[in-house]
Amino acid sequence: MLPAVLLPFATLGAQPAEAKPNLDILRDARVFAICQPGNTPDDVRALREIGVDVVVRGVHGAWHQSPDGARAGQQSKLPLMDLSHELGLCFATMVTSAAIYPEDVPPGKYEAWVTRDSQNRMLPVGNWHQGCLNNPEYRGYVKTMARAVIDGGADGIHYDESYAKYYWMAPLPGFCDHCCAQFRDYLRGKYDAQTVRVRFGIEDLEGFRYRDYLAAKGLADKPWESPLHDEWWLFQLEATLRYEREIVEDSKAYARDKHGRDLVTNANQYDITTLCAVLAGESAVYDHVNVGTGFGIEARADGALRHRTLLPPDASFVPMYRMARAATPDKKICMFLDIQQAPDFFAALPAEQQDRLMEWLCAEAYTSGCYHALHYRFSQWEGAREALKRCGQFFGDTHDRYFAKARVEARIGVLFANASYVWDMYPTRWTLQGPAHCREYYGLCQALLDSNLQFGTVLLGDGRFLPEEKPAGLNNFDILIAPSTYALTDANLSVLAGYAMAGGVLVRSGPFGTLDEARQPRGTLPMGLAVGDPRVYALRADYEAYIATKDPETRIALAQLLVGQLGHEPTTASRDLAVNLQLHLRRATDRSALFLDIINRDYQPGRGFRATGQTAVDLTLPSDFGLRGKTVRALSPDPDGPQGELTWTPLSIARRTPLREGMAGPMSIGGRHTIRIILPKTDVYTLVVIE
Amino acid sequence: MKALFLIAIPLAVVGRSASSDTPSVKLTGERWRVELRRDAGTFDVLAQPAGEAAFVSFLRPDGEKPWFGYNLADGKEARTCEVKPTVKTGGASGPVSVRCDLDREHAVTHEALYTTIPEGLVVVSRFTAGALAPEASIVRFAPKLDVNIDLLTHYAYMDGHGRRHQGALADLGERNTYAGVGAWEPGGDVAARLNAERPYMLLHNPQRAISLGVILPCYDSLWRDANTFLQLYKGGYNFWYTGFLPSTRLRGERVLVVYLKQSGSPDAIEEDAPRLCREVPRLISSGKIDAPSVKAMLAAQEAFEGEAQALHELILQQPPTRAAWVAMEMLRTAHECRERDPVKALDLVQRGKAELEGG
Repeated sequence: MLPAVLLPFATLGAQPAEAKPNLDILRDARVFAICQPGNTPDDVRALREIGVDVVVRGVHGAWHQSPDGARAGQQSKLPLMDLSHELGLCFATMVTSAAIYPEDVPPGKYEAWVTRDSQNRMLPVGNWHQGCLNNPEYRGYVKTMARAVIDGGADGIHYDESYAKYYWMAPLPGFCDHCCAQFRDYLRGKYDAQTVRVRFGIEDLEGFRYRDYLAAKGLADKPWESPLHDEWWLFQLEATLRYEREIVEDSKAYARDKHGRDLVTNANQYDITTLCAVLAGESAVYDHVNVGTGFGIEARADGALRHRTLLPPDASFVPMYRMARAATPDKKICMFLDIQQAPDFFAALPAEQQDRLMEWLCAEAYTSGCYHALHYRFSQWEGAREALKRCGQFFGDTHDRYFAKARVEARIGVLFANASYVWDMYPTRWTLQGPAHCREYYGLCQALLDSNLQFGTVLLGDGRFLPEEKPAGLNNFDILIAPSTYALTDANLSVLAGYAMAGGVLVRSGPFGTLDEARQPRGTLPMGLAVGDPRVYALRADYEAYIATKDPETRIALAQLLVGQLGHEPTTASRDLAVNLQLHLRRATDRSALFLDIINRDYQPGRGFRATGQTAVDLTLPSDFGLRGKTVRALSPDPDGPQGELTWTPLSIARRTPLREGMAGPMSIGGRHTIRIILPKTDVYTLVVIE
Repeated sequence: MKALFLIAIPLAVVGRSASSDTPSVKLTGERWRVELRRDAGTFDVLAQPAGEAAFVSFLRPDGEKPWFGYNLADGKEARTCEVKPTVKTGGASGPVSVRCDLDREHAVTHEALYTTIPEGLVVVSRFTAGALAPEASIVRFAPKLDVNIDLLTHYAYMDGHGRRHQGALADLGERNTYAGVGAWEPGGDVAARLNAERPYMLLHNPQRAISLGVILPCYDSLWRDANTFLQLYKGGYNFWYTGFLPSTRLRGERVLVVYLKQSGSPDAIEEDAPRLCREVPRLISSGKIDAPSVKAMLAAQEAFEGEAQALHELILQQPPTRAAWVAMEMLRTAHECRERDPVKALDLVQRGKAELEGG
């Protein structure tokens, strides 16, 4: 079957295909987009022409609406939905699980549903409030809203900020009467009266109300200092995810039972360093991971919280994609720009450079085994149609062969530990003190990317929100790096001890397993995991600060340890100082082909990308990858495609001279080799395929 | 040659009143005067509006006195304006040094070295500290001023994208509001960075043709993370943070130009800024202005290209060994940090060379 992107525009409306089940569309999806609002049939046709299969957030009849208004709003889009079905496009409508307005909710319910701070005050967010998912009536309201848009023909639902509580804001939400009552029940289910008396000073658990407890201790304005805060946070995380699942299951059952169709669900999960733990947990709830993000990341450096814009050459989305990929190996992972207006840095670029930046976003996503939702439209920011079409067609056409069934080819693994991530709310949002695993992870990955050292992310589940069995493929890594994995489960430690016993090298950066998954201090580490043990090394540099400072010594310390001291053999390298490339080496899952991703990161604010000239990249092939009979070629979504000829030269370390010249075409050498590939000119992205 | 010309300006145009029994050292130029006080590490800055006989002060009457200094992580401040300085004058046209002990326990001192040029003053601002000095969250290498916005009614600066930001202060909106780069919060007319070729900010009065500007030479290295902005603060304060750096270390040296060529528009400073950003480093490299750390940085900048090229050629002759990879990584990192830290960049190149030789 031809991909729809190849259908001529004029035929799209004239030859309706049989409607495909929404979950099948998602399963087979190659291209995603955001389209908000999506108002006209022309938008649907244009999206399909671009190659879009799934709109992660689009037609919306349910923002600032009552359920009746949402139903009517969605029904008004029925012709548009019909056209979407005909063209095989799954269009997720937005339903908020967060924002409520007084005029939209039934009389007398507003104040009862709104989330409260620890002094029982309503917490305004602009001219609206957030409802509390711990309140069963409010959950019923969200379900009713979702059912209304399903009645109106929705194929999918994007639950906007479905966690419904901004846990990173001050004052902290999550202390309404329902929260307090359920927290009491949580404690009652977990501890006996004696334990809560001795450990937390609660004399009467039956009559316990957390707000009163905080007030009595003088902690109403800083609940994170409460002895019960860890318990409260675990309770809120579990309740939030449980109720999100309840809402999603209700929506899916309703769509299936009443309308006989499946429903694609996603949420606005936000990026990894903002709303810790919820992202990872939500990934288990929805049909695909959907990371709504801005262009920034914050990190502590030089005693202050500093902002880094996520743009080349200094920053990348790849660490986030790899973390999401590791946490959710069996679902599609998409990221969309949750930005209504074009950011200043984007608006300042010449038009063709704005297109290049869109291409860079796609390249970062697809090479990570994920998706970037093409920015078709978000309120006041519309992507350039031709550029989106170019990206959609390139990545759509190449998806199945070069991206969907490939994984990073790396001997270095970076650990992402959910047991630590759960507690990152303290250092990243509530107190700014202590280690922040997610930021250390990000900074360390960025340093590896800067040095073009190939790495994969390895998830260590916490056993509560993500499974904690041994990660698949762990022993494929020669070196594992633990970036401030301060909290680890016993099972995590056991896995790592086994890894070290089997000959793996563990590099520890920052605190390591000093706490357990409940944030309780741990006495001693298992044998073989302490610094000084034969297979354990310490990396003494601040990789969170690296995000902001890009301190050269921090980057060099990592490179020297891994390559100079531990003997890691880098597989990709460029000796051309005139170019600044990010190189990813991936391998087909059937091991038959290698993919070398060349992402240009020679980018300057206000000017954009400076295209590379022809340049050489050295690629050391895996020992089990023979070149006999293979061909090498280049593909690119750049406006003119790969510009120039690709050639390659085998190198011999022993003889220090090129063995012979080779052109693109059939190769005939076998065994492990380093080859020097002369790449064609690249604006943003070139994919080199050896198959 | 140009450097020599600059410091040979006749005293009729650029001059000094520096008798040791006066309460201040007066540095003067065409329609401007700076008075460095002897009883505190502060100063006044004055200008003569076009067509008027009297000089007027740019500082807010009864406002906060100008100061260099720093903020500690716990919020405490150390201000030169609260310290009696040691003032040294270097002859008729030599620099004036104002040295303040800010924390005797930790041997923290600040020295400002003022050299007069036709366009105003070149100021070398230098912090030194003992090994156990506390961490600072903000280091004010360029002074904090509290300016009179009845006199200085307009602002201008050029952002990193080369766009000039300008307007009347009255149009910035209600306090707190800002103009400049790295402001505490959004609001007003703010940007992320100054323009590296024209790293200036100017306050001026179009009607009376007077102005006070600051230029931050070697912006990509010395002032890379600097905050330079005017804060119209609640309570009537008009704080102009002419250049502070987030830092944990109370050591280092920066150089700035206090631009005092009187004008009613930003055209002159915008034209002069690139030239001054070239000439001030020349004055330092030639030793005409004493700034040893900046001089070392400039020397590293000068040496970098040749050293880096030599290392690159050496690497290109090597097979793809681990040592060659590490050396190349050092060279690439050096290239990436050469603008912001030339000394570190040169060090990395030398270490890269050692890596190859050791290998």
